[in-house]
Amino acid sequence: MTGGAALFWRYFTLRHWRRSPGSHAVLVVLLGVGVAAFLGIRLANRSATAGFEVFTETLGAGAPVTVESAAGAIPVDQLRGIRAAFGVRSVVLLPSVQTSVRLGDGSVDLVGIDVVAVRNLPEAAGDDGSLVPRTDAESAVFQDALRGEPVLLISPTAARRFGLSVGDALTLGSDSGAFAWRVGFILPEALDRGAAIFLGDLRTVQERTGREKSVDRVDVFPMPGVDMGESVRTAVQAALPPGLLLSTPGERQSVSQTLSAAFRMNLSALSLLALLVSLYLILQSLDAAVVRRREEIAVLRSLGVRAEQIKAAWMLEALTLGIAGSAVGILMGVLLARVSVGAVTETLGNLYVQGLSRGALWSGREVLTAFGLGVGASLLAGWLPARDAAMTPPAQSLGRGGRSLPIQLLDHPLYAVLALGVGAVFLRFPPLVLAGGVRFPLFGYLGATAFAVGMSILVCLLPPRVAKGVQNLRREDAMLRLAASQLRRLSGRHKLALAGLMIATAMAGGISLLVHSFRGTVTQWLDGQLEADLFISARGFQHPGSPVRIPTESRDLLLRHASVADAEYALMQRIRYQDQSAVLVGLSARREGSERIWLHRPADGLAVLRERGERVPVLVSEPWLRRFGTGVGDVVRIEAGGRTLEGIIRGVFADYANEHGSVVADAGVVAAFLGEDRTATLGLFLRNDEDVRAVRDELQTAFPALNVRDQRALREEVFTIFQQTFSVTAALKFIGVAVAVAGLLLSQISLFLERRSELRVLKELGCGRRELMAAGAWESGILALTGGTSGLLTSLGLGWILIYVINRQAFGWTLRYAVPLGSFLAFLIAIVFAGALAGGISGHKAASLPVENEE
Amino acid sequence: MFQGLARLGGMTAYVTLEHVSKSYGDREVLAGVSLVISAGERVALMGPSGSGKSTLLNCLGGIDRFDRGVIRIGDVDLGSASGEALTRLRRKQIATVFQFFHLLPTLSVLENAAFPLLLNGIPEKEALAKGREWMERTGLTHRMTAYPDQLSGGEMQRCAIARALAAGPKLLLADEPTGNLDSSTGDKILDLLETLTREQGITLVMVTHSETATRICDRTVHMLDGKVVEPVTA
Ligand SMILES: Nc1ncnc2c1ncn2[C@@H]1O[C@H](COP(=O)(O)OP(=O)(O)OP(=O)(O)O)[C@@H](O)[C@H]1O
Ligand SMILES: [Mg+2]
Repeated sequence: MTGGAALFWRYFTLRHWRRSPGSHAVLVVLLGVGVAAFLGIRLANRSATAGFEVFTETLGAGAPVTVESAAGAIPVDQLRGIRAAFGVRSVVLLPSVQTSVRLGDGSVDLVGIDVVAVRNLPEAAGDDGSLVPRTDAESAVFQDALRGEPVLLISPTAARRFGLSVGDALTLGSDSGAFAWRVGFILPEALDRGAAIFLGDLRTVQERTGREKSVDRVDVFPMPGVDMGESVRTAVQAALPPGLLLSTPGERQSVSQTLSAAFRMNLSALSLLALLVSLYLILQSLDAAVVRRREEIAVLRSLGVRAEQIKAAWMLEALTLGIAGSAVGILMGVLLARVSVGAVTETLGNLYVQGLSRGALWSGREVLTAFGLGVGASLLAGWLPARDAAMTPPAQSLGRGGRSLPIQLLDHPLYAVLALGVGAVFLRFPPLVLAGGVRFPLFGYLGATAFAVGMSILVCLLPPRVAKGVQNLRREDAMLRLAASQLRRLSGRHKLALAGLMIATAMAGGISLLVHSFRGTVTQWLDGQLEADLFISARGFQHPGSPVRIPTESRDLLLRHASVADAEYALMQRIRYQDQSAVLVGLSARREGSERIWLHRPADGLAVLRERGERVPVLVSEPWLRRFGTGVGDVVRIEAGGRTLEGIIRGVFADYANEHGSVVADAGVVAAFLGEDRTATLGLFLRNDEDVRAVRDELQTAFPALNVRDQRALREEVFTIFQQTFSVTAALKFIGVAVAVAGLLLSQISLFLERRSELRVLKELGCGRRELMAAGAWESGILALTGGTSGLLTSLGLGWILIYVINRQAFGWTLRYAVPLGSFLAFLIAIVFAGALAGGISGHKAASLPVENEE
Repeated sequence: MFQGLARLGGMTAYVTLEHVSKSYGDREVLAGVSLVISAGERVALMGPSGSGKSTLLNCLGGIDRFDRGVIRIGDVDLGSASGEALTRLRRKQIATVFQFFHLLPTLSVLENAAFPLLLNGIPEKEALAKGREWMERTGLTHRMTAYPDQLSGGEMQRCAIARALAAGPKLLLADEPTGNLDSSTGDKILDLLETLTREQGITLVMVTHSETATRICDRTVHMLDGKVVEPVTA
């Protein structure tokens, strides 16, 4: 019946759209907003997190395992030992050094890699966009250019940032002096990860930075078919020369990565909300259209159009809407991403010095996904109204008897109990573990959904009671009495509107609660992390496993510096604990003021570390707690270099920076235990009258091998970023309310349309526009009050699930549950007010409905 | 028995109703209606409001179901016919004209008339040409491109009649076709109905409240409380 479908599309869908272009445009834009929010968030997200990741992972992203040294750099003569540890397994070792060098008045990363090894890399190694060139024409240039000559291979970002092209000369400065280099090759755009990378041959870089005797890391690429699983890695680790550590990319997590992963997941939830909400809107509007066009449908039926044809015609209408809305949404989404990424990554870029990719904004896959989801959502949403249209009884409809949507689901409280029960069971399931060790809390999400569905069924029991309560407040109000009587026996349409409103509110509220908790936790934590005015580490230090350390003499000089009021420093050592990788931290805390976010706070806070007793007092991080199942009062035995340190856990603190767990003891104790006193990070607190910038510049010049960061500026910038990033959520909350209320408006208009005969009576009884508006306002207002309140209550539960189940399962840490009471209250008032307004508007419209034709 | 009667009268029964009943809840709206209508006959259906006239018409048109009894149109038994057969019947044999016109608002006057033809799979060009002939017959040629909301009541009913007859039905059901028109416009519509049904040999069942409207009919059937009170009189 394709001819028939075309006939309906041309004579009805298209004609209706042409007759009232305004209201259909609104519908298209509403769907567009949903798709745009989805796409915009995803694209912005992609780009922003891509930037985050560039921050740490500049090279060797393709290497499944990496060898690093705990003590410092890896001596060149240990390379043979490393090779031997892999035994008969066929692997390619790619040693590299990475240093910061001066270019102009900034600093860039110079990486030296072994050209000979690169030629032997397995084909697949560079596929994921790492900077390893493949063995084709490009790498031929690469190899020729690098053999012996001071030639650099630079990333497209580096070329753009410094205005370099092939053949240009440049001077890079290091502690060993300034050397002239030449740009030999610019990496293909496809390999650009947004960072300014300068690659040179390992030998040349070593010579020119005074590091002939060591490398920083050795990336290990297995040949195809070679197993690098957990057990193999354990065996290799055992065979490695002492002091060397094997790690996988998962273990090289950094602050930026876990935070960005958490944020990405939460933003994905947000973008899904946008889509769900537009699904609900389309359902409402198509349903309203069915009611409006009931007569047309009945005539068609009486002319001999089959029910299935009616259904197909309405599905076609939903499809048309889906295509138009998605197309508009994609345009808006790309724009949205442009704007929001402009705001967010601009700051991120400043923060991390290295540039962020702003080109990665167009992703065909994301666009296709958004398009598919938009069209799918509108088909899904079109299904109920289409079914309703097909079920239109011609005889009654030509006499205009309205019927409501039959939604059996919302009629049975038993289903609610069932949904809540299933949800509770889901929440007990562990997360799915995906490829690459990513934990996906599928059951957490399912549980949250079941919970929301259950609550939405229960909420349908409330309006008669709420209406009665409100009515008791104003007994003499006739229009309120009328509205309350409508709510006494809820129609399917009422229930759908109410459930939709409740779910939209609950999701917006839940997300808002999550973001509030996230923001509170992260700011407090960052406050602790970025407490010091200046943050100092050795150049090249990125994570606890990074071999570089601050020399002890430098540290002591810095501690005695005239501008320094107080300091806090940490020794860090990668350790094995119960056959897993963990970090031992020796902390020298300030006497006053330093705090942590505690899950279990010792009575005297960090000072507990200075207590001396039979066992060493230690603190562990939350991930440690979850990984090793030990808690306060338990004993930890840490072994390294044949010695054992026996500690007793006195407190547990939150740590969002790494997943593998840290154990913290006093710096003196750890130094004695490790026989090594070199500091990984050092925070300086300056005297109040000091100019942080000036001191930074002075120290940086005095200690070129160290990286001195102006933390006060950094702190301010980080907070700006967080504010900006979180402001996205305010927009989404607004979308949530707008949609819920638009849904209410549409359903209230349909209700009036359905009650035309009653309207006539009301008019004859002397109800004017004002009275009808009041009746509509009461009816929708009470629905909004019920839906909004129960939605916010539900959001408390959803937020709990998001924080204690979903986030914990995905990241192993807990946020501090914090309810944004003020924002909730404002939200509720906005919903009730907007709901009453929507009802008033529908009453206004109802007053001008023609009723003369009624029988 | 009724068929027998009709044969005795020398006419072919086209519509036959035997003891047709229908209830809404415990309220019996049709209480055993029996009626025989010959092919080409024009029947007026009269009775007080609520006596079940519209309900009976809807049952005849196959857009409403009845509970008991038999309705036969031509050789189709409506009670046992499949939904598919009813649809076919509505497309090819039965047409309805309503008191409130019920034109399709998105279609022009011409398209409204041609729509049943399009629905029957007739190519657009041919359907529109045929529609134009009907515009001429109903005197709407000058309003052909207008839309229903731009028409007067009389024009709307002409358009509805054109739409009803365009596909060449054998049975026309009209529910108070002049109920919403002033008397002179109503008269013209009645003339049009008479001319066209006579010309095309169409059987007409027309519900009306006006005695004058019965002038175009061969006989009048009276209903009261869901029953035919003056049984089959030729
Ligand atoms: N959908 C329905 N549900 C319940 N009762 C109905 C329904 N449709 C019609 N009725 C009842 O059936 C009875 C007959 O209705 P019907 O419309 O056939 O009357 P009518 O003879 O056409 O009256 P009028 O001359 O006023 O049009 C009426 O009492 C009406 O109330
Ligand atoms: Mg009637």
